[in-house]
Amino acid sequence: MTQLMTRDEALSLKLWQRELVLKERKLKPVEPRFCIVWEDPNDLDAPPKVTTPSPMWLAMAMHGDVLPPVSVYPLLVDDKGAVIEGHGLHDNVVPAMTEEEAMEYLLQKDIPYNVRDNADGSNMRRFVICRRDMVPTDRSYRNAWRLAV
Amino acid sequence: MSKIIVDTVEDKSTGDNAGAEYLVHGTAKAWANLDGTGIVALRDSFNISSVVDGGTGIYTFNFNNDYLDGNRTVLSDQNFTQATSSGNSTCETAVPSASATEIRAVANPNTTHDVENLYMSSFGDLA
Repeated sequence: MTQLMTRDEALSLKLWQRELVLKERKLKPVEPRFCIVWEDPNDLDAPPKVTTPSPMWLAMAMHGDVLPPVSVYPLLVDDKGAVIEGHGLHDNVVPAMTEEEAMEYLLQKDIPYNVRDNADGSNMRRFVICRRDMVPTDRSYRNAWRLAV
Repeated sequence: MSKIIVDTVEDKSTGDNAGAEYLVHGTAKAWANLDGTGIVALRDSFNISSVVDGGTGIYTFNFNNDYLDGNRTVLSDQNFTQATSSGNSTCETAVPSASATEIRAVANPNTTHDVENLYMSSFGDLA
């Protein structure tokens, strides 16, 4: 992938500004091959949810030197939901990832903690990363469908 | 990258002007154009890391750069070719958070439905 932004330039910009600059420099979005299918332990009657990365976000992850370490996201908010460590989003960047690594990053960033870590003590697996073409497109079927892995 | 540092931007012909802080803080900080049918897919977006298909007509957008808190706004709309002539709307349904927004596409009479085009834009102060 062509390098459109250096690490030093990225660190001189806020996270959201990096995306603006990369859009202007025609960073090509990457159509995702994978998605995360997961069940919410707080709403077991709901159908499985499907999380799909944004093509632009995926392109930035694979470009490298744009996104912050994923470890900053859980530290951002206090118990009232206000962001207290926002500078963490802008102070550091991680190198280029493969698409598979980007999905693992996204899992930690956007999937609730209690889905990933079985916080209720159960041994039931509540998520799977799979190819998007493996997910049924028929909504009436999918609404009655459970995750079995 | 070059930078223009100004206090005010003024239209040369009309004299209409706006403060730089208005332009910086008044622009959309996140937006998305989503195909909400089948396996949902973002056609284009800004400051969105992922979208969650949470069931029929229920979509959650996760922000890449979080907001400072839940005191931000979200505007959304839908374009649904099979829609009836009235009663179609979108609404944010979860408690507003700094990191995500959940939007439901609702059709007359008050049922959620998958939409071919869901539009979202969001304003506020970013972290």
